[in-house]
Amino acid sequence: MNQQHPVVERYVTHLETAIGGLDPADRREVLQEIRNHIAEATAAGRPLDVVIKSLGPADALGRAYAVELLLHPQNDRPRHAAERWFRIVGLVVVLSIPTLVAVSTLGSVGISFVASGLFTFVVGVLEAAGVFPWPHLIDLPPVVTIFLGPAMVVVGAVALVALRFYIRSVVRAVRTSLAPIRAVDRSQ
Amino acid sequence: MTVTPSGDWTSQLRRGVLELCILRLLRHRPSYGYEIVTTLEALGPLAAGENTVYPLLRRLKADHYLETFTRESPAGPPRQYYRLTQEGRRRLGAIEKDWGEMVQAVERAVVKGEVA
Repeated sequence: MNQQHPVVERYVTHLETAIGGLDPADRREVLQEIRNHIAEATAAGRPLDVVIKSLGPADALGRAYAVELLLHPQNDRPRHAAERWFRIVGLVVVLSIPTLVAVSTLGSVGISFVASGLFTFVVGVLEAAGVFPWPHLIDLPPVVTIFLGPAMVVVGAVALVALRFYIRSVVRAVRTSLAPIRAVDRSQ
Repeated sequence: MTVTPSGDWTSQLRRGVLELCILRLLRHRPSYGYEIVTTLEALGPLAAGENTVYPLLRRLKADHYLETFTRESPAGPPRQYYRLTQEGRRRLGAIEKDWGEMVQAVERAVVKGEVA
């Protein structure tokens, strides 16, 4: 079959218009494939009009390509997977040192201040009541330690809350990176 | 294609299993569009039109389950062949497993009537 046959050319021209939303490389391959199909089918002895009719209207064939290539949810999945891993690696690079500093500083300040504050408060109360077995373990008046203890607990609690907030933010950022990315229009 | 009273249902079913059929068809050797279309035509109820098969082939390629290469044809223009990628083989394995489970479930539900 001569590929320059006007019926073939008219069909291919209509199809080219119908798949105008695809990227140029896809468009070229699609048109070549349909030309090949027509050539193979006519070479196998099928009449050209039957072959064209079997392909269906060029508009409908174009829409079928658009549905598969532009709207299919799995489209571009491998590219998005690569993008996702780049984002995860980027997050690790950017967040590793801040996370180390935040966890070690806020964690140690939080735990030690809360524990020390509680201990100081209890010691102050026992000393004020005169029942503490080792007087002057803390070299401050009991009244001061009674107020100093809760202040230390507050500082430690603030550090722990800040650490929790930081960890939640990091987890949210990582989850966002791991979440599948919706398909985008390949024509963009 | 014959239109039957269950035509719409058959059409939906065919569309669902067509991807499996194409991947299975290409498991052992590459094939080109026209050959794939005519092979599927010979499968009776599974026969799908060119306007379904060719777009699906392109999508499977876009999803990296298939890749293409060109080979000279004894007659006519060079053919564009499709072959399975490694990802396509994994996809085929996963779909075959799902299909097997689906067939067993349908067998139990419809044929043996285990589901009321």
